[in-house]
Amino acid sequence: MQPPGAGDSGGLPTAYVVEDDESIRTLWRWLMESNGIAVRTFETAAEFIRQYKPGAPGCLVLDLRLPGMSGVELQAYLRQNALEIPIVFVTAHGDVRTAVAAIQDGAFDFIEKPFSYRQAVSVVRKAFDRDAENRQRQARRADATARFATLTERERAVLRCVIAGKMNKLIADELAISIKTVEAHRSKLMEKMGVDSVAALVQMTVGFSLMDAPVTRA
Amino acid sequence: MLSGTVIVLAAFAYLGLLFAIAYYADKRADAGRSVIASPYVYSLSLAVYATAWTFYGSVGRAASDGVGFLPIYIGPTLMIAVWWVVMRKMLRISKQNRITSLADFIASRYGKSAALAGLVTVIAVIGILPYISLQLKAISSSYSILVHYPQISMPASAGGHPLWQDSAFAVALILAAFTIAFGTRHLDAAEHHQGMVAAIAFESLVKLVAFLAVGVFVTFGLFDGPGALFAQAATVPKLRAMMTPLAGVAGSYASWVWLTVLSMLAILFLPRQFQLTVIENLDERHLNKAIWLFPAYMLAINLFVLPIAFGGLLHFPDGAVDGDTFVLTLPMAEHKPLLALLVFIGGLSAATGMVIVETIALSTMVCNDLVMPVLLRLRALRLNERRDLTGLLLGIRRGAIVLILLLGYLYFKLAGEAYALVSIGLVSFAAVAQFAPVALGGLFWKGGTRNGALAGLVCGFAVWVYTLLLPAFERSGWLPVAFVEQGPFGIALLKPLALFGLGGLDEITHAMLWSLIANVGAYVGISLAGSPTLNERRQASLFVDVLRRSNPGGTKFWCGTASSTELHGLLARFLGGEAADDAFGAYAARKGLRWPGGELAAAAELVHEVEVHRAGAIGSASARVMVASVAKEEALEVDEVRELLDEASQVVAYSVRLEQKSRELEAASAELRAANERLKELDRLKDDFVATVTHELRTPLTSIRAFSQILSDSPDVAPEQRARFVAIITKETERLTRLIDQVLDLAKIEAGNVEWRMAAVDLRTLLSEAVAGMSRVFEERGIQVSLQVGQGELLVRADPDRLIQVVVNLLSNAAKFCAPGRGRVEVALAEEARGLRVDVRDNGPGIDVRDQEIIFDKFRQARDSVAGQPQGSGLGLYICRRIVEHLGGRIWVSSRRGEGSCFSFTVPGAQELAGQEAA
Repeated sequence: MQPPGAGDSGGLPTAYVVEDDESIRTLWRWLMESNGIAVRTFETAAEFIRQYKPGAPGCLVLDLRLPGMSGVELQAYLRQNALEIPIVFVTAHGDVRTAVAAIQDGAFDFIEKPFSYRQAVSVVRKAFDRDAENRQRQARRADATARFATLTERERAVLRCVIAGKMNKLIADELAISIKTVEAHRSKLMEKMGVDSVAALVQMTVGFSLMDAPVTRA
Repeated sequence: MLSGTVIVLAAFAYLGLLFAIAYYADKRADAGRSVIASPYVYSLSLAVYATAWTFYGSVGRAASDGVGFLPIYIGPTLMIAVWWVVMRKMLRISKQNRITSLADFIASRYGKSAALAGLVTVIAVIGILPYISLQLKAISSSYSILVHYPQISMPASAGGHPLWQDSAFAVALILAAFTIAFGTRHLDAAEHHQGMVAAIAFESLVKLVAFLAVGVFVTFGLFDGPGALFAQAATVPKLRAMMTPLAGVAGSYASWVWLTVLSMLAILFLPRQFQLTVIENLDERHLNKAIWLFPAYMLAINLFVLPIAFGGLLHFPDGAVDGDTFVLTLPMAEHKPLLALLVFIGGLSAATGMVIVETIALSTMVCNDLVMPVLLRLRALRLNERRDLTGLLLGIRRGAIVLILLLGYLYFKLAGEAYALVSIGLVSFAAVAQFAPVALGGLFWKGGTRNGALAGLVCGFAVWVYTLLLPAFERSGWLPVAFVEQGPFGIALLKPLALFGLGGLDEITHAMLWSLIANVGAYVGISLAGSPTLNERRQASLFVDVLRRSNPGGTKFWCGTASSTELHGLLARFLGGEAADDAFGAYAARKGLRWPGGELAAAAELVHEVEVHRAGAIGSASARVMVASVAKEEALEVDEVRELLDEASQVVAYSVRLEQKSRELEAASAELRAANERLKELDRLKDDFVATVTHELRTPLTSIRAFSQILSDSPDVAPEQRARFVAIITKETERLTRLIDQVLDLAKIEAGNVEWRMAAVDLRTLLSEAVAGMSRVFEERGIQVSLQVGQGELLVRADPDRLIQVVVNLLSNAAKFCAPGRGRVEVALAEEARGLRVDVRDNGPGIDVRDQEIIFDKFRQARDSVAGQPQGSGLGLYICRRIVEHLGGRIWVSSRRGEGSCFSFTVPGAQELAGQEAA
């Protein structure tokens, strides 16, 4: 019943369900599959850790109360190992406090038992979206970092001035170069960074904190 | 050869020598190198106890009564043995309060009462007069006898001479002059007379040497040693009778006892003894030596009393020579002029020493405790405003000395002739013995009050006057003979020498008996009837607890204000400006304050300081009046002070109680902490319980709800799926029901609401039924079950439904944890001493040792991350435990990880339980 390609980073987003109750596992499998969502279920946290391939897209549906390693403990384990996957906690009413703490620790959401099946499907979908966003952002950051690395020393100096909102004339004075040279640098670095407006350039540079990152020359 | 001139010159030379010694000692003392700071000088000075009475009188007494003279010396020897208790206390008190006299001492004890001080002074002066007259008599008669050398003639009646030719009168005047020179050259705040003490110590040596010289002369010169002397005496029947102890004394035993007691008290309360022992004492440690040195001196000076007495009686068998003069007349009869002169000097020495110290002590009392309080109260004199009172004080003292000696002379003229020396002395002893109840009582009993002391003294003294003084007057012809013979107004019961019909005793015993009864009775009675005032309580505690107190000074309860300048002025008036500056400087230095130039905080302590300095000059009763006039003493309400005192005495009790309370509080707070911990733990357990129950309830609910929704919302679900979902819903519903049952069961058990249907149960049948009931489950999971229970009935007393619940629970646990297909479960039954044991053994994963205890707790389950087996509610084993324990058994598990588990429980046998119930 397992969808093919599950666990591949490039594969389908999958709902990973850790749940000790057999009936609930059955429920999850049916709910996901009947809505065309890839699903894998695990009885314990240890089992999940053994089988999960780091980087695989999707989300983690995690019962708070588990025999052995608890849900919260698994969350901490994933964070420590820099495994980014949105977590949806499943909790009974008495555990709300624990669930809120888990959210504050970075969990994506939680649903309370007894949940309706629509609720379950919808929260998994939203978690998938978040996962996709995360991945996209990750990818853009990687792209911007790579582009930034191609800039020359002089182009980075000009970039710093542009971000600071300085006009070409002032930049030329500061760097003791002609305005023409400044303009040439500007167009070159816009091209290298793959942006067509100063606004996009600033957003990219500041958004990914490129100037602060250690310079790695390509 | 021994003309009057020679004798007088020798006497004056001797007195001059004494004065020189005194002068030298004073100079040394001023230079800070005291000659009397020695226990030997101190002990010798105490020998002022031995007066002319001892020197002449003992032999006289021995000549008539044999060893009857001894009690007077046994008493002090006994008393000195308890000095460590009594005298050390008196010394400590006197030093701390700058006591200047006996009157001061007694008055201080009872709230610094001026009336009491005055009364003590009056009693002391009147009581001592016979004693002084005795000394005058001794000196003048010894002179009269000696001047007729070599004839031995008894002096004629003193009354025959005109005043200016009367040697006794001359002696009185000369002694007065010397006493003034010795004792009142200047004022000393501590009332120390170091020169006088040195002279007295020397004087004690002289009289001892003189007496021993006569003794040796009589024993070895006139006779051939003591053996020969006593052998010769034994040939005379009258003398042999005297050698039997106690035989010659009138009243015999009673008399001995009373004379001993009397002299025990005299050594404490004779003003001169008090002066030398207490006031002049420089170092408390001197007492230690005195305790054996003084008795040694007493022994030495009494050594030759009997030999001289017997020698005299043998030498003058006709009785024409008075026994009191044997010491002098024996050397004269043998024509030893130098020895006779030495004896005269010795006697003079003994008498002079006594008179000087006694009159100084009395004059201090008269001045401080009688005259000054009166003068200070006379506003007309405006004494409070005079800048310098030292001249006045010295004048009063000098006047007192002259007056006392003249009174002594007067007594000698009036009554002295009629008595022997010892009898005169005993009258004085009886007088000072009246101080004993109030003084000793004051040392050891806090309950004595001023009124009690006054009453005791008045009564005792009155009886003394009535039974001793008046008969003496009668004998001198001052009172009609009938007064003594028939009693006043012919009332026989009031006869002074046989009061209330008590006859047959000697005068002294009789007087002592009645006076002490009156004295002690009044003192104790009145004291108990009233209650002590503030001052009396304060002083009582100062006196009685003196050895217990570490910090001297009676300032605890003083409450008032005074300007230090005023206080300084006050002190300067009595001691002179320089001495006052010294005193204030010393106080300031001690307190680390600045003076002069700064205002000393006139604290209670400073006022007290001034008071004690002043007490040195004028006695504490007068000092109190004066200081009170400057220090605006705030009158404390009696109740207030009583509260203060109560508080002080209760501090110890309080602190003990406080300690106890704080221990109790600590214990209580520890209990509270523990209780709080338990509550927190309970709270945590409750949270756990709620969380667990909700989890356990909501999990099956989730399945039920979701699958039912799916079934109703999605008609296109395949039929086999549909059937599967329905099965899940059914299973989860059952699970839910089971859980709810268990929770309710638990609630019932915990609330004690279970109805136990106890019956005799055959455990074999029960186990078989339980296994049979579970057989389907075991089959499903492929688990083999073996039942080893043997044959026959094994009865236990239990609720069969509950017991089977336990067994089923254990079986289903075993089934749950065994690996499907490979599982084996054994049920065994064993008989034990007190019942039956059931074992349920499986070959599952086993339970960690740390989990083996907790699995029987509510909602506690072994953490099993490896196997991940289906979990229960966590209530099953807990309920089992409750049931087994209720049935009187025990449940436990023995297991090791990986080697399966064995759950066992015991149930008491039916007979066993029945037996218990019967018992």
